[in-house]
Amino acid sequence: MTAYSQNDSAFARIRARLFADKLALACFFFLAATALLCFCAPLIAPYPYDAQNLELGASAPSLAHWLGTDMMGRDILSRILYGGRISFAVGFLATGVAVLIGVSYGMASGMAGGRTDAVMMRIVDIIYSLPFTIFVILLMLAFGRSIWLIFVAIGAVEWLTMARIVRASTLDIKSRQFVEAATALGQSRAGIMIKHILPNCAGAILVCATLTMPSVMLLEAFLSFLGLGVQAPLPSWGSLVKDGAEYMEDAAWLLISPALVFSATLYALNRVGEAISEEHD
Amino acid sequence: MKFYFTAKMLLRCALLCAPAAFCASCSERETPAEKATEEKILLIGNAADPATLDPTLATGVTESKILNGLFEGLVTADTSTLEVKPAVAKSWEISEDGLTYTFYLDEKAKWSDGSRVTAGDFVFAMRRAVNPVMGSEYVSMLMPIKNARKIASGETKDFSILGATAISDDILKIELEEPVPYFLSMLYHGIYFPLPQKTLEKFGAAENRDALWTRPQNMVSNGPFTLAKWNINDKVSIRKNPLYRDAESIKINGVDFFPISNINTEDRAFRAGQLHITESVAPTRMDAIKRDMPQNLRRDDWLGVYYYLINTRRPPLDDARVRKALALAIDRKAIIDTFLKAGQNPATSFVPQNCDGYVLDGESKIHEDIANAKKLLAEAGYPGGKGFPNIRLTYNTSELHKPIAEAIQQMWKKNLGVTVEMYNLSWPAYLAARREGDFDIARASWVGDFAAPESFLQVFESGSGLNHSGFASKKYDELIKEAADSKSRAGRLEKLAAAERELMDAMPVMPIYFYAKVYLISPDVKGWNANLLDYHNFKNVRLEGAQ
Amino acid sequence: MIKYFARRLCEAVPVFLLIVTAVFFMVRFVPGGPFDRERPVAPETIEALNAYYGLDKPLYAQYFSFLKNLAHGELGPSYKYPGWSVNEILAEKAAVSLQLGAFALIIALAIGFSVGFAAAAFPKGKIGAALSGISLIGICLPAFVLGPILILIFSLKLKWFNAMGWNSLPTDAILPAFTLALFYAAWIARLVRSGVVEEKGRQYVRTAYAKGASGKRVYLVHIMRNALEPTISYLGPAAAGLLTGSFVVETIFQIPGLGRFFISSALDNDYTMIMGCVMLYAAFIIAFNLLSDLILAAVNPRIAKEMKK
Repeated sequence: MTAYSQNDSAFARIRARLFADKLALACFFFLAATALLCFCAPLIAPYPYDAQNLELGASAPSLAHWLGTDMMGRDILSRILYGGRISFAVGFLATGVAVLIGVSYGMASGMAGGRTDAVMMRIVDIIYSLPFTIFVILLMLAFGRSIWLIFVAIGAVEWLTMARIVRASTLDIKSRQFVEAATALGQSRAGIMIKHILPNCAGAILVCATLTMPSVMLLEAFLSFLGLGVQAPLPSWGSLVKDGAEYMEDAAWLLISPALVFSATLYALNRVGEAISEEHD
Repeated sequence: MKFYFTAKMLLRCALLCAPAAFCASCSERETPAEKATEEKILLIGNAADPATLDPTLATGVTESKILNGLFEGLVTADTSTLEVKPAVAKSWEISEDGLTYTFYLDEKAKWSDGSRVTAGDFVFAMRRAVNPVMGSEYVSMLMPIKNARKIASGETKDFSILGATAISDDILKIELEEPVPYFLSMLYHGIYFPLPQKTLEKFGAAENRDALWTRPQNMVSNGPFTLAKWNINDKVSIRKNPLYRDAESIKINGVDFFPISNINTEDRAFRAGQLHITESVAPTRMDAIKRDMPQNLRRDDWLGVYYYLINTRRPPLDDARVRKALALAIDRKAIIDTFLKAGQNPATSFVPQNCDGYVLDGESKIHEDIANAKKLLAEAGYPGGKGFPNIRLTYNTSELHKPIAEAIQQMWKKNLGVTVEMYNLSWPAYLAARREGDFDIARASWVGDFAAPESFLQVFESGSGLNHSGFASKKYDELIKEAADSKSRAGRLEKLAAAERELMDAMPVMPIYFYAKVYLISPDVKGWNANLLDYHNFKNVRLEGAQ
Repeated sequence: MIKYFARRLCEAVPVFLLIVTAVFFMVRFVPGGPFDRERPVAPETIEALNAYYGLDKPLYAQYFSFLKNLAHGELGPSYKYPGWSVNEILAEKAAVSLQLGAFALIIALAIGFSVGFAAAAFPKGKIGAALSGISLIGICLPAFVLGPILILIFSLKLKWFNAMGWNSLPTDAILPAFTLALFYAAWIARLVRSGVVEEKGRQYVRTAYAKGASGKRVYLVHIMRNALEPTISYLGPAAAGLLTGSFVVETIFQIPGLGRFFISSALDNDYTMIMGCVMLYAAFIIAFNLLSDLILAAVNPRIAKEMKK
């Protein structure tokens, strides 16, 4: 567990850990660079993501198309950049939803304590035993298919672990002296939560969020495998990898570059998450 | 540290275990298909699991493939020419007015429990199929029979008025509402198969969907094969029926159907020697297959059309000029060459050409003509696509529909300046959207139930449950009716062509390409004939190994 | 202890009911009915089918008759496969998924533990980094990429295995089990490693070493016991996930398991089958969570003590 004190902020600790681990640091910069490139896709992508050239068809990497083209003659590099926008957006937004629900739920539960806490945690257990894939698919089928819904649906599924972790931290911090002091000074509950507990949970939340993001991105890829991902012709990394996998023998470049970027991103997220959560002496 | 050794041991175990287990199988082994060839069992890919093996309830191609091996109707078709040939009925007579058919049954025809196949079994099956309680999907195939519509709609519960009567065990009489020139070619469809009344009654299946009679241990059938095994999502096995009336003509011992839904899995299975025949070929693999194993690739014309259905009730698609403009702005050849890659024919009309001698004249056909498309769109009030409202292109989730929709979306954008939004739905949601008219343009396809142009043209009759376009033309309906009444074949085909001209004029449908059956087949399989309906009863098929 | 588990089991009942109820009503909001077909189905037919399956009754009546059947252990007929009951299909498919899942679980444990321990043994060195790197591959590569790659190498190139299918050869389970296991192996390895690393730094371990206890003993008694706690908690849901099959792996390897029904029933609007799948999954999760608690209690007396409260 992370140790807490007033003068040593959780972020400083995390930064220190990140800088201590060279590989994780490299991963962090890789993520930052990739995310930046993807979000600037409309500015830097050499072609629009949906511009076809049926005569060209699937062509191997060349000077005009650095990573080749797919069977419709669409530039893979551009599609990866635009797809990254979607995948990162899915990742960030779903994780954001998960953080929002998880943190408020976990904190409320931890602050309430006693019976309420027990009931609220039982509810989390209940939702844990739902088969998520069916749940997400039913949601998508029932409410149509908008990309925003994908975010919300996935976020609504991924908040449980967050809630547990935040609750545990809240319970831990609540019993500390500085919180008790604040209570004695007559600060409101909400005030205590925002001023004291939230900053002290930040480390745990960040770690959990970093590890939630790759699983969200994998889930998006799974939905793409089912054909339930984003509406074509918009690409996402999941759908690019999926489409590429169909060509793995005959036009390997369609799989290799999206899969490399996708896997590297997932790896980097995992590595960074692990590094900042690690307990060193 | 000491525990490192424990860890190392565990690691070593994990690394050693696996290869040790494989070594036994390292040498070149006989593939399952080679083994099956020796045993004379045909291994065939089937795109999906049959939902049912009850001929009354069958819903599609995957089931009818198996049922054609299990059952035999009054007539059968030559697997090369689709010419109607005697089967359970050894002969028949058709009355002057074309309304009464009398069939004389083969007394050798037996059920697999040894009892005789009687005219009553056919009557029983037809009555069961028109019974609304059964919810038979192919009940429309029975509508030519007298009073079938009345019973199917629940108007009457008196099944005895159905125009199918057993004169004796050997003689069956079928009366029609109106003359149907192609009636005999409907009769080898699964819905006309006889059913073993005794067996169905024993399992309470006479008026019941949920019955156990189609289980391997219970099922009784009259075809060249009987059901041996049915494991959902695994395989369906049928084996030679020794009691079949023409048992000596069967050259193989059985067929195993593998319900492989993933097209790439099927491709790998064929290459690993686990299948003799695949259901289809992944377009993504087509180039490699043409290069590496052309001897295995087969392409047969198939009576089906892939098209886009237009909702003519919704502006701006309520304007025929807009519909035509969209249809003219599609480069069908490019779609075939880029995505389908098997030399399918571009669909320039709705009815596949040369279906039962039917031809539509060239002028009524639709070809890519961008200049004309632009002109039509401008006339409709959208020059260069300006002001064209946002419409949706709905398609159901599939590896094939997506790229075609993406390509057509781009063609419209490039050629006409029209932007459509792609909208992908699951199969039930897609069907619901079509039924409720909640679409602008929807992907659709149609495969003929029998080899006659009527099987296609009836789709757009105003009363047709498949016509979700809102297109309703009295003239069209009348032309089709007149065709049925016409005395000569030429007269009939002429009327039908006139009807299709009406259809192409109104353009509630954009034909895209005609289906072709594209599959991989092992050289061990002999006598696998090609026909327009992809109809196979496995009777002529032989399996001969390379040796 | 027994009391604790009796209580947990009793608690599971309302949990179970709540899940069932939520899903029961949710599936009805999905557009399209279970009997929609491309060919026109007469309204009379739909009416007849709805009447036959009791779908014409008001929703609450359907719900209560569903509960009544459930109390008798009846999940009802499958709408997609007329003539088959959900019980029957699930039982048949569960047998396959249990075998494959158990095999995959063993592989996941073997790989996960060996990689996890090895990585913990070299926490700082290159070997440790390399091992944890390898263990992450399973989390980074979707099964629909990994599976086909394994098939191309091991069955099309090396011709060691069949490319698909189940039960035609005893080796048919190897590739799908590996594909299925790798994701879980990566998580297990990660949990084992961080657990061991964390425990090794603790005061009591150092004390034990200082007192002269042998490495092996410290390791087995102290480190293992505490380090494995998070892994064991993870194994509950992981085992449930593995044993209920995977859509992707079953599709790619053409395996007649449960996993495909979880997805296809939802896509086909096969209401009874969806309910069956959801309940089966919930039951598995509840059971395996209980089981992992039981193991935790057996391993760690402190937890057992808490449970007695």
